Amino acid sequence: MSFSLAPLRKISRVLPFIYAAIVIVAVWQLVVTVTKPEPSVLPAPGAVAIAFEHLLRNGELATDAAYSLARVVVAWLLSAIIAIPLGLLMGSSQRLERLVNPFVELFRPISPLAWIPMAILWFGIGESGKIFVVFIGTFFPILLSTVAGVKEVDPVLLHAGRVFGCTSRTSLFRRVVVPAAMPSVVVGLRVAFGTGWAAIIAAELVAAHTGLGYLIANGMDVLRADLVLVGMIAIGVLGFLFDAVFRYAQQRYSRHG
Amino acid sequence: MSVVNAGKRLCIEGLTKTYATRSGESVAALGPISVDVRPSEFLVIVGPTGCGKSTLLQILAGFLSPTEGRALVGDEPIIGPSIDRSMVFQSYALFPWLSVLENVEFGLQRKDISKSQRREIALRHLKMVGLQDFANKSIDELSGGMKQRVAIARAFAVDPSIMLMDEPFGALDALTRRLLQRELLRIWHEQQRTVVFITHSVEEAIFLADRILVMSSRPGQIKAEWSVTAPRPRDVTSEELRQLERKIYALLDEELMKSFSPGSGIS
Amino acid sequence: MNPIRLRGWSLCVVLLAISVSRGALAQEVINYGVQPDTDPSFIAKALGYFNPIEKKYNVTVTFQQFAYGAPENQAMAAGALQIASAGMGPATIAVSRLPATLIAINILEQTAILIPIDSTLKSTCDLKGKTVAFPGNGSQQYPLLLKALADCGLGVNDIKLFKSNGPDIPILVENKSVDAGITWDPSVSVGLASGKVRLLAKAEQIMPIMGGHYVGNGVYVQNAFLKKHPDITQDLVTANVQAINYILCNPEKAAKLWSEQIGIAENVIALSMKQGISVYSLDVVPTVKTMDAYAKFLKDAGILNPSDSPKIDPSFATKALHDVQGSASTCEATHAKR
Repeated sequence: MSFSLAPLRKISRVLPFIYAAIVIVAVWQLVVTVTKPEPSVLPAPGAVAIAFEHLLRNGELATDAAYSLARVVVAWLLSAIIAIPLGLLMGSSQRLERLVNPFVELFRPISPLAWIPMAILWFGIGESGKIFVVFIGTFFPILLSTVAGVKEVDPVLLHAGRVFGCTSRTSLFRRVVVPAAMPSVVVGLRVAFGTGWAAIIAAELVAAHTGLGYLIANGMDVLRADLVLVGMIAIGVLGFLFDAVFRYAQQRYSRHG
Repeated sequence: MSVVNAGKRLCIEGLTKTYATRSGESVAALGPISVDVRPSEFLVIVGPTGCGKSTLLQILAGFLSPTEGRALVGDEPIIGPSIDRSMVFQSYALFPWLSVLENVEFGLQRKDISKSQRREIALRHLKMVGLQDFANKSIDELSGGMKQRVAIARAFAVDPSIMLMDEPFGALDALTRRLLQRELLRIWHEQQRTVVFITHSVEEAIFLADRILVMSSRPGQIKAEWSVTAPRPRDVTSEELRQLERKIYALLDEELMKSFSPGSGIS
Repeated sequence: MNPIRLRGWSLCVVLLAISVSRGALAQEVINYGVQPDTDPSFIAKALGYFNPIEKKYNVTVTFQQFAYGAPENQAMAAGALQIASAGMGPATIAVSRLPATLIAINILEQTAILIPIDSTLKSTCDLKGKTVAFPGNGSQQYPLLLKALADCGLGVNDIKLFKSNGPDIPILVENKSVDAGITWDPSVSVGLASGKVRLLAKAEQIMPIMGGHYVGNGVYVQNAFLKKHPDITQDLVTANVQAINYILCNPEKAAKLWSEQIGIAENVIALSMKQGISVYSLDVVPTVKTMDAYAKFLKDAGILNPSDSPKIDPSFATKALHDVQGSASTCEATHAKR
């Protein structure tokens, strides 16, 4: 019997989320039916579905999502390009770490959201301000997890590396330290994407003309709570999907490695 | 084709290791130790915890410098880690991002060995430990015993003169340990490398060793030495070997009592 | 004073304070939403025109300040405001989508397009391809901008929009981060007063929707409040019209009062009134004809849905006009007649 269990297994993984979504919609509809709120305060699930379909059809939702995503990806890549090498070096050199660490510790607690007013003042119009805000949010998780990844390399692996041919510091770094730190780096990349996603929404709430954050802000301005909810749902779903992709990549990476 | 390098002679001359504590005092951890290890000899060192046997191995591996004295492989003094002094660790120390085969190949990354040669050597050594079918698996798919076999294959694949083994079977269950002891002996017979093997287990020492050194507690020095000439595989339950076991335990108990008696000065 | 006596007096003071505040709490609070602009409501408050209302009905009129219309509407949607004064954009949205009714239009014009002082732009048609700062889709300014573009045969895709806060827009124009900006008074006047920006077009030039004027600022009230207190509603509107009369009769004194209330420099407010950026009339009636035209425009611009229907009630403003014209000498400004 050539009955494959694989598709069933995939569905069973999604089932808990489908179940949760159904419960949420049911409770929501119940609240709307019972309390009869103003549509501009809490629209019914049906109204939101209609708005969702409308925005999908006229391409606005896709465009806004693409803008938000593009900004995050650019900032996240920029962060990775700077933070990973810096983190690898900081983790290996106590002197460098002592030099750079005070700056990191001073700036890290300042949430990217707090940078938004400055970003608008300095960068003004255009994408650079928003990318800057997201960069702040993505840089530190990647840097910190890279440094941790290097420092937490099992010392016995370093011993083994030195015994089995890594005679110079650079070859030990290249052949043992960097690969050993990679799982931690990947975790950092994943976390950073999440914080970046949150940051772009906040930045777009304040100063943008496109993007999912803007969709929400605009909805608020014109008392279209249905638009606000469409934006929120889109943000939630996309954020969830990205994280799932990362988790999958993480698993595949560590299994392959 | 790699040239089979038989084991070399290892001379340990007056080795001591002293550490400075935070308060500025110096603590003698090891020595003085002087041992002459014959080529292809299987030397086992037993001693109480903290006696410095791991420190000794670290010095022989080249990770630590001795405070006094030196060690020589053949005529060359040990100044740093080298592939010629291969090592097997208690925690396996395999690289999780590499496959089984790639781990064994790791030490073979040299300009004078081509890719296909590397592969061939590595596969041959995997075969030696019976794991050739697992070449492309990842490390986390292996049991502890299998991991240590890969580590042994890796250590032998680089054709070393000396093999250093730091309680390699300590993390394994008794049955796996018996299996690996036999496998190790088989490979050692074939390859004839000089082995310096550290263990807690007196039974293991007697089963494996050509010569057993018993170390005192800190600062570790050689308290006693026995040659074991019984042919292998040995029956450790035989009267002769049982007697040896009792003698060694008596010495170890003596050393252990020192660390438990009041006013011993060991913190 | 010995410690025991001191403790006794302190206790009395505390009890007194509690009973006073309790007494205050027993009154109904009317939360009146305002923004920091030259709103007649501030003049009414400063001159004490709300005091008789508070005494007569045993209520407290409390101003709640908002930076712009959208949060003001959100507060009303949440039931935190009973009456609000905001730009006609947010006001129309509120009375279309909330249970609220428009009862007065108390400031006219109030919007203008600014350009840098040395800009080469000559008319709104020159905005094609340029970057224009604006306060967002829900603002008073957005439909005006659309109309200005439409009159030149342009659409919103022919310019680059940049959303910003109303008060920031003159700064963006001044430092040339944008080619032009449309915003509301007093930000317009603040920009003009700096000497680094000038007017490209005024609201009533673009959309003279109400007898030659543009609808600037509206007052709207929660329907539940309206139903419960039509009398208070009437008196509040009348107080507004009385305030407008004072403004028309005593522009310099009004400017001083506003300056104290909202913190904008007196000379800026004087400039605003002199240049007709913000204009006042005793006639604050939101006529059906005007509102239909305005709503239609908002629907065409996609700001209102076709099914949205703004609720208006001209009766209060009509009575207020009648009462004020009948009772005191009025100073209707000539250019404000409709």
